Amino acid sequence: MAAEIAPERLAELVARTLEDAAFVFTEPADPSAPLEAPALQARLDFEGPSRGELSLTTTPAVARSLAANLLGLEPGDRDIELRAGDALGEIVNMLAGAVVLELFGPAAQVRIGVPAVRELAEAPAPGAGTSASLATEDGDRLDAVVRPLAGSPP
Amino acid sequence: MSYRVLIVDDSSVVRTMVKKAIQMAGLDVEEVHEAANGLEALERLRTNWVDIVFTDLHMPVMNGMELVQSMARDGVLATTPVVVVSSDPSETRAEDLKRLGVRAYLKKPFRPEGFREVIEGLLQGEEAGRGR
Repeated sequence: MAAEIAPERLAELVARTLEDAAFVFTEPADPSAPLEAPALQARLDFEGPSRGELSLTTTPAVARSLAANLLGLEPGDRDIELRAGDALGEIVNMLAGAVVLELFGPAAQVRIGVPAVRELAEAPAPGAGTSASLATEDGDRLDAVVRPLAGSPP
Repeated sequence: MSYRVLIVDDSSVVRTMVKKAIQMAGLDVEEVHEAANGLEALERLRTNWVDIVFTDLHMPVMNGMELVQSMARDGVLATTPVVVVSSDPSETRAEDLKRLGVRAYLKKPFRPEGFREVIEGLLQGEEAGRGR
């Protein structure tokens, strides 16, 4: 049976990762409101006793903030735009460490996949899995989803 | 004494973060080499003298565990200090890495203070070794 994480716990892990890594502070948000498009999404798969997928979808503005804060860049630095996607990917990588710890515990051997980042013309439709919606102090949304994947590792 | 370091991570963002954290930790760095995976890291190590390796674990092509295992099997590279910087929370993996000689394990997200402690520990170990 696939391990599960409660939505509130997922929201806590997302909030803590954003604060600790990038000094981005968030609060729970209303998931029924659509996330504005275009959006950026970072997604990776992970594997422990069961397999799953973790994604983090947000606005380009949040991704730029992450890049600026992770890299210590001043406003207006061209690197902010260039590295926003990578920054979001790294945040989802860090979040994955917290999620697999929550799902499988510290004794499990895990594999965390390489994040893939893509631009979305439309906000993704809700699907299976556990989701958490948060908003930054500026009101920008971040949606995290943990979804089980079929098949257990050998 | 100034040091040559190698930073191994598939994320260029993390390589920059580690570089800045090392500088903020006060390590006198002469040269910084970078690699996006374990295979590139081995190529850098074979053509450049490196004093300390900072490596992620989960990378494409060759992961960090495979890199550490390769270094442990090499007569020269086995003596190069390795610090793992990873989001992987597995205590089992951390113990395996320690058995392979990894000197420290920094979990992401990391703070510059964490780097400072690790580097001070590495340097004290080096000075103790020279004093024998």
